[in-house]
Amino acid sequence: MHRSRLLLLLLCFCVGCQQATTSESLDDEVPSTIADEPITGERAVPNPGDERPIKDPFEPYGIGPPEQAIRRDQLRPEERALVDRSHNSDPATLEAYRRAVIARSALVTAQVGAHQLGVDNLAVIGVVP
Amino acid sequence: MRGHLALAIFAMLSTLPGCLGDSEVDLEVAKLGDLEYAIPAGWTSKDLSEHQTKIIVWAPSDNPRKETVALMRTRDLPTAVKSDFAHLQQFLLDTEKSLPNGRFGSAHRLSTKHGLVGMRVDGEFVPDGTKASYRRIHAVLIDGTALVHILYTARDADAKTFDLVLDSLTKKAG
Repeated sequence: MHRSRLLLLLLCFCVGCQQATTSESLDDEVPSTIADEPITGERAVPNPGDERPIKDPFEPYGIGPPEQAIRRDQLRPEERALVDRSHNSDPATLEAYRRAVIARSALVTAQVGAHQLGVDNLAVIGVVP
Repeated sequence: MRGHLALAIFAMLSTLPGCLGDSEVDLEVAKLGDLEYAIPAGWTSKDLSEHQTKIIVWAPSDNPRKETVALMRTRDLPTAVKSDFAHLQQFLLDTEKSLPNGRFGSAHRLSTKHGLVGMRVDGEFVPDGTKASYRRIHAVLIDGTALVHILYTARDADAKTFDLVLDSLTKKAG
């Protein structure tokens, strides 16, 4: 049971990293709308205490109560190898991924802004070389 | 009718020394959708419209400053025009800051002489293919269900032209 949960967590982590850092297909997607869309009823507001702060994308997910943690020596060899490979990743590679995510985030933020304002090509329009 | 008269008076006064600041340039009247505005006489325009966005770029025939004024009227953006100004100001700043080597101050609200409201941001960027820094002033005004963008871009800036165009924008009657 615990091993299944660990493998599931590892799978989610790997998929999340790959989507956040290497996907180029976002260029073709329409940015999501940040501005509030018109609604007919009352705005939904969480009950006091139910609010969930936005998670820092560079912070790992929590594992829950410490007593539910799975120690490395409890893993099968193939699971241990998988965990070790992730743990021993080259720091330079991880830093490169981190910078790429930050750069990508700024780019997408700008695309969202331009989309909301109905403009495009602001780096070119009006420039006399 | 009243709007047209106001713009005509604005254009006439602008040609008189001492009126409307230091402006002594002759002006011409141009249109963008249901808006009229003044532009210095002798400037020529290019229509770069695309899809549902009307884009007119003006430049002087002799252009040592490498300056232009671009006016854009977007397609209908009902959600954007109803957004609060804080959102729109952030969108404007995010968009301009993403330009190559973009350095921009914070966006702030504005109200033109003829009662149009919007926001404005000032800054500089270095266009691709050049090594020089260009000044950029970008104003966004709300016009019904659409947005009107006024972009001043220049290597050697004279913001009076931008102010002149911005303050002359008038809603056409009828």
